[in-house]
Amino acid sequence: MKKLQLKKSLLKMAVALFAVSLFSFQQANAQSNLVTVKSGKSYDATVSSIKKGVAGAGMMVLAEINHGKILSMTGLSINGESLFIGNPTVGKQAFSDNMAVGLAIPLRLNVYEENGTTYINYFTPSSELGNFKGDKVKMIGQEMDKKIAMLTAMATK
Amino acid sequence: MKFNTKKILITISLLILAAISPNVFVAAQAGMAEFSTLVIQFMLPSVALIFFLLLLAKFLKFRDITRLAINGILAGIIATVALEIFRESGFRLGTMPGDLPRLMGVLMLNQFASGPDIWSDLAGWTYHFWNGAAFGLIFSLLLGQGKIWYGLVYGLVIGIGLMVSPVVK
Repeated sequence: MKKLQLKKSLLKMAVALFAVSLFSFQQANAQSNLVTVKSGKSYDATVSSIKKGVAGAGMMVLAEINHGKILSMTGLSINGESLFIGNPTVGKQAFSDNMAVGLAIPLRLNVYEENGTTYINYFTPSSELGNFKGDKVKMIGQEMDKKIAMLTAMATK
Repeated sequence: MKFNTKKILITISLLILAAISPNVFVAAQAGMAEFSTLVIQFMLPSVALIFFLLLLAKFLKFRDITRLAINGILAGIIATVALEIFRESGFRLGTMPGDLPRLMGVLMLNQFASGPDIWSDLAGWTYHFWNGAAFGLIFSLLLGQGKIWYGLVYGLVIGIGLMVSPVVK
């Protein structure tokens, strides 16, 4: 009887350990897709550099969400803004390949200030678009990885 | 007692029109339509019609209506200033969850994503004070100058109405 209980307990522990390791793996995987770049410029200068850089890279800022201004209505004072960037021609190719990519396109760049330092963070386009079927979509994701990396490197210098 | 049909019609119309402005935000928060759409389709025409009816009342020499309406509008604006002393200080002390006039401004101009600016603030505050004026107009037309405790009960009813409305949720 005691042996049976011991076996049950061991089995439960094994299941729990497996669940924890699976969760940790997913967390690590999600973290590895998140890129954070520290900026050498002020918050305003970084946002301005991204906007100029986006135009220079043949893309455009399609939408902006100003977290700082929105949250000022709740009494919280922060600097933070998300920029949704893309290119309609590239978007046409991606949507032609898979209509569901609207969840990941346009790409989102987030700029924020923490303890006086400005950061840009984003999920790599290849990881985001990699969730969707379609060779073209995956290829666009990989191309965008390079473009976004170059853009953020330039904007933070 | 002699009833003046025109006078009654103008008064009832003013009451209905004054009730539109405070209710468009509630309707928008209940998900009935976008606030900006309701403002254009209902609130702005209601404001224009209120002023048209007040001019008509003046033209028809219904001095009691114009006097009550103007007194009510002014009293409503003054009451909103009094409300603001508590609301704004409460917000700055962190006891209020949000800055409602600023929120109403960004929703009114459909610019939530970019956040408030001078124009949305102006729109939101104007709407806020107009609501005060509309509540004052309703009170004045229904109860006249009334007694102080009438006003207290009326204010409480409005406050409770706001607390149980979709605005708070």
